[in-house]
Amino acid sequence: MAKTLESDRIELIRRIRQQDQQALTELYEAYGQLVYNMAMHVLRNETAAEEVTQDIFLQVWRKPESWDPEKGKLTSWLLASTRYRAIDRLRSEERRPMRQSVSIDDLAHLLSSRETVGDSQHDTRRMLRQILKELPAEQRQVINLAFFRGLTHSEIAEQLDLPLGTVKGRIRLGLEKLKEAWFMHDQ
Amino acid sequence: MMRSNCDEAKELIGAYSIGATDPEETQLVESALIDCPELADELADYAVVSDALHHAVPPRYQAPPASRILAPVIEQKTSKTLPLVQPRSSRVWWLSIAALFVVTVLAVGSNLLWLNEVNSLRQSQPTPPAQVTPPSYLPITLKPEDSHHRRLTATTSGQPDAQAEVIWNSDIEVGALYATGLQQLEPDMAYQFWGVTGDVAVSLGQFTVDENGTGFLIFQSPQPVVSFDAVGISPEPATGSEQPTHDHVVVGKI
Repeated sequence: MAKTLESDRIELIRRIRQQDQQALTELYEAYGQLVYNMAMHVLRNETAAEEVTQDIFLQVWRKPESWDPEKGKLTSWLLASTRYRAIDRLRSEERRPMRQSVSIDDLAHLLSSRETVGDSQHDTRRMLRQILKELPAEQRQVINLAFFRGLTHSEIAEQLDLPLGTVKGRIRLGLEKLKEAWFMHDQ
Repeated sequence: MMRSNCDEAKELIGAYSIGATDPEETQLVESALIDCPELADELADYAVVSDALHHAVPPRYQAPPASRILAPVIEQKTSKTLPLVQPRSSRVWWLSIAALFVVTVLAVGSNLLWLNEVNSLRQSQPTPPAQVTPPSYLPITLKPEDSHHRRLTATTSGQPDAQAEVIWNSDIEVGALYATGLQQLEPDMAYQFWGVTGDVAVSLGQFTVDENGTGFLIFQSPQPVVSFDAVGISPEPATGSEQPTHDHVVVGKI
């Protein structure tokens, strides 16, 4: 099943390489929601998120070869590209949405909202929810700030008014726990 | 490469995988990756976790239609000879402004009507009613089918008569707040309306109250109002606060 889906994606990208507009529309219908959600999650601004989403799909249209199936799944590539681009935008605008948005927003808590994705992505989310629930809130908070807001150790320390060593420790411990739990669940 | 550098880099490798390292730490990890072979394996493991984290984002926002996002591609083929249309973001901006204007005019209009009625009531009733009824016009003016409405009730912060109603249109995230029973504040203070999620609040605007303790605010939320856990009002310096510095006097769950 998974192989079939991945081959469908490769076929979709192949059609996009041939400048098939319908294929691009199909790609957007399949992944637009995920991409837009990621952009909104980082930017908390509809106009900016829309522009980032548009940039991502225009990039696929202009440079479909940017995605190398050998290096990872299309979904992962799209989401990582979106996150990086959204964080770049945050940085370029020197906008820190933390003040005007969810901050900790416990990933685990967030994950309790409705899920529309089926198949393995649903399982991945469910597994992550379980793993993240087990993580102390202060560790989730710093990981969230680093991963979804693009903040570094020292920026997080400044933002949260915490000693740098504390932030480093929380991120390291939190990620170690995530890694251990992830691979344990994955086995 | 000294062993201690490998160990130091190993401590940072997780943070490096999610981009949390500061520039000098990044440099340390990247040079250690060349000389400490076990680090690469470690990084590969963290890369899997990092990839998985991408899927942790909940599907809470509705993506715009394909016709809008993909418009530049579609327009490219169909209107090559036509002059460029306004940039999309500009169009969205003007549409938002227009929508905001319409809603504001309607809401302010209704507010004036309501104030007029209050004045009439005041003239006919020497004593104010014990409980002020929220303006029935507002749900009508902001009535598009998907308008939402919440009541905010007094907390234990010392303003037991305080209450408020908030209605908003989730299409444009514009709404109106109507509060009664609030104490008058010092001139350098004002009430601030917040959307709250967890420990973090988003300012939705400030307002003052009249001699009867009644205040009104039109607001546009920077994020979907339904994404907040709750909304609340707290007294703050008139210049506005980034986060609440006083207790909320009224709150309402979203």
